[in-house]
Amino acid sequence: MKKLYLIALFILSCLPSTAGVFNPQTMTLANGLQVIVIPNPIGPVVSIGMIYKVGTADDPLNMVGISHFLEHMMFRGTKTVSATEFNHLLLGKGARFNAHTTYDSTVYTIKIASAYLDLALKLEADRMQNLDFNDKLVAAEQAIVMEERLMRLDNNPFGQAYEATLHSLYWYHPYMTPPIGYPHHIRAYTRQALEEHYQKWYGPNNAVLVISGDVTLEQVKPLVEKYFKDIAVRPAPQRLRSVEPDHQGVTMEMTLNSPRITLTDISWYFAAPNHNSPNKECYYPLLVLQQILAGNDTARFYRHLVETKRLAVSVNVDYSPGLKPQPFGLSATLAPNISPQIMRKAMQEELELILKKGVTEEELANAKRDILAEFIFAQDSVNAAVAFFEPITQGFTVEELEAIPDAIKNVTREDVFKAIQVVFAKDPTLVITVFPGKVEAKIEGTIEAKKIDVGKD
Amino acid sequence: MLLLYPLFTVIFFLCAAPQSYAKEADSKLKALNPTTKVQDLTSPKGQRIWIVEHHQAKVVSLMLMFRDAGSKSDPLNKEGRAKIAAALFDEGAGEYDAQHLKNKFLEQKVQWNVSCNEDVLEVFLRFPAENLKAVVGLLKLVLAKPHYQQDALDRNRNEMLTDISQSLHTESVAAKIALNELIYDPTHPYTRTPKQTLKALPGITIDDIKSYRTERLGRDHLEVVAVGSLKPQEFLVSLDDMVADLPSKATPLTIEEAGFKHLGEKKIVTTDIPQSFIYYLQPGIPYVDPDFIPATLMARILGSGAWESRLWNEIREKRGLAYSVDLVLQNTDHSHLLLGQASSKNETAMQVIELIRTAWQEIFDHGITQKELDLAKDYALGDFVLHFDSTAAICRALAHYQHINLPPTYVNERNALFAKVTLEDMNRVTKRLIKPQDLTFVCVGSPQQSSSAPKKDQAA
Repeated sequence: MKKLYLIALFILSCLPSTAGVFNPQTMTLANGLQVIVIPNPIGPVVSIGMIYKVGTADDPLNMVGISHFLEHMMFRGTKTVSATEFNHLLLGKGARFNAHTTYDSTVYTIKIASAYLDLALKLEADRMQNLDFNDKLVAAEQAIVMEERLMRLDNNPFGQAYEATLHSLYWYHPYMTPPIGYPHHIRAYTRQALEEHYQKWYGPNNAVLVISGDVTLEQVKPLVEKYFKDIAVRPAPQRLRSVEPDHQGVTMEMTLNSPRITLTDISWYFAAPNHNSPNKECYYPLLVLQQILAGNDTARFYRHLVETKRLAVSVNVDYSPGLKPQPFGLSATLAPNISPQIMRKAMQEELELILKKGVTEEELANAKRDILAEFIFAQDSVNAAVAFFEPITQGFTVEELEAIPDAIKNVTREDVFKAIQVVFAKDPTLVITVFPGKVEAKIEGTIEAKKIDVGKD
Repeated sequence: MLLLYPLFTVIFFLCAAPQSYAKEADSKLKALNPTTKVQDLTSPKGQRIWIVEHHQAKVVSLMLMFRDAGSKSDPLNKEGRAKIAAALFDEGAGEYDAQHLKNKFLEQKVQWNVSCNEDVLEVFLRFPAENLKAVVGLLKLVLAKPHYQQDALDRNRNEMLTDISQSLHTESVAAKIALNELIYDPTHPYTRTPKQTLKALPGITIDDIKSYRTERLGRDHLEVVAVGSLKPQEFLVSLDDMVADLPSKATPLTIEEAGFKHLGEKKIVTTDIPQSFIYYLQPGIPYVDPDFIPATLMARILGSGAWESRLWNEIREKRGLAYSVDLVLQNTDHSHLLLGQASSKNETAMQVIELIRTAWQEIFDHGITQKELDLAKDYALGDFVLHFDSTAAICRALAHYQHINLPPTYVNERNALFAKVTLEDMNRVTKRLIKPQDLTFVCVGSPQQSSSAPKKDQAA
């Protein structure tokens, strides 16, 4: 085995630097670690993303959220560098570091003066292979994650609606559970399960290293080789994803009222393809459609439903599928004194209108203009590149991501029309209405203050 | 006035050599200084502006900050006036109705954001450098001839009413309201809460918005920063044209330094949520105080919310009692607090409060260690340059410095000021600033009073 990585075969390729967003320099180590460098001398700073192709949807069913939990444990020390040393080494250089977990990815970020890139890579390589676990630290971190869950979901007036929505959208698929898991999942995590998860998913061949800043591949290469090339390949894990069955025309209707909610919000969710499912050719047209319907305050839903009809104070569209399809969601927060029935009828009319007539040339041109405008600012900061390449964990290639502007430019009215038929010809799979609880709906109510107790103690 | 200010005051310069990776920088300061060069200029008509030429990304970030135009300027019973005025900035101007104007900005690929806090109104824009002339033209129109239409007011007001009324059910907002009501004098503008805004918003008229513009958006209250690919001398002329139609002077606004009352108390707002949200605070220190820099290091050592501090270690890392715990010096124009926040389940919230008290007493009694100071200083020195990697970030940082009356040379001098702080300084400032008897708590949740003693199984 050792021989294999000592050969150190480098695949070096410079992508054509014409139409891309970041025009990265890339290489892949013999052990499979993919390296993406985005030179950007805008300041003496680098932003580093260590991206692993594993997320909540890869978690064992009895321990959902263990990917997120492992993300926490990656800051609890290795066999060679204790947590305190890790923190002090990076903080001593002024670094900012953090991590996040999604259904399909786990991402570690470090932003640091480029003079200290060496240190950051050394620490990332160390925790890719030497993570240390002990029962005491696992227990302490479980309590912290429980607190995180309380903050994000249980204390949140919309947390319950969010969890119920996930459950109703997916009958089988692991996207049905929030990435932090349920309390019984969090309690179930063990040191052994963590180690297994780590060994299974954190091999160099399942990782992508993104470095953006005032460095070049030529400068980075010796450092990456020094720290990563001797890390052994691990058996390539299979990313299993259950197939969400067709909901057979069933529309779930859900209502949720709460004394801690003072507004009325309706969301409609439609089954939609992603970039590699059947009807994948709808992917880019749907991104454009999202912009046309609710990308900004000149978008169709804002003009029709907020400005002209005054039915809503805001409207949103969410289409951001992952490795597997996720729904195309529409939502409207109702204007005061508008009944949900009126809003639903108006949305019905909007959908009938686009199903029949599609979108206009002007809407299409403006939406493309506004999507492409975002890319102009991509290089004004070293921060954006890591997030831009994160969809590699959803099955995109570097080339596909770099070609997004072209793919957007090539979308036609006919493409959008076809995508509209695919998504909106069927009834939604879920309609959820969230509205105020009856008693406490008074507008002047504060956070249900039962009593105020002031005193010196 | 700064009319005769020299046109070109070079603040400084410096460069980190990216090739010297392996070498631990001896001259740490030099290696960690930003490459930013600030020009402190005055336009022909007397408008001061800080400009940084930055040609790497072909974009420009521009900040127009109006002093004393934030929510503290809202007249009594007109709370929300500044916020709604901010929302109306792109709702039509000159020959363009709202949709047309928004489209004009989009055509020029402008990202823009108008917002206000308690003190200032900020107009921030970022756009491709090649569109500079067109953007200046649009901005001139927006500043000179806003439409202020009734339907735009109604629409934005409805959205604000909806948002604010829901926000009262967010525990941090409820806690902020309780905190303001507890510590500030009720007549001070900083006591104003979203509840008053909810009451007053329906009564705000177009005339109120017009008065806001006349009273608050005076050129003499305007602070400007531009960063990016532009030619300073040309931009100075454009700047005069852009702001020419604003009122020359804003109405003077005199606001006293906020005093604090009920220090040392604990206020609990009982609410049916599983996790308690805790604010903890005591008086802080003004920016102009010579001890401000040691005080920022002290706040970091005591309560930084990222990876290392006494509170972080005691509350989160050792005991698992919180996911978030943080402490900062929070300075506004008329108030300065040492303000922290933490969240912990109701069963352990009181224990967290006791741990914070203990840490306060501990740092007061025994000061800090050289090791703690070294780490905090190293962090402060290394972190500074990370603010200087985009036109937007540089622009925002400089606007802040200008607003709090720091010289443009501060970018150059800042790291040296941190580097020279000694342990003696730190312990003197800690003794001076930390007041255990003034430590005040506001807690929103259902904290369990009985279980203030730590339980063994709580980390399990």
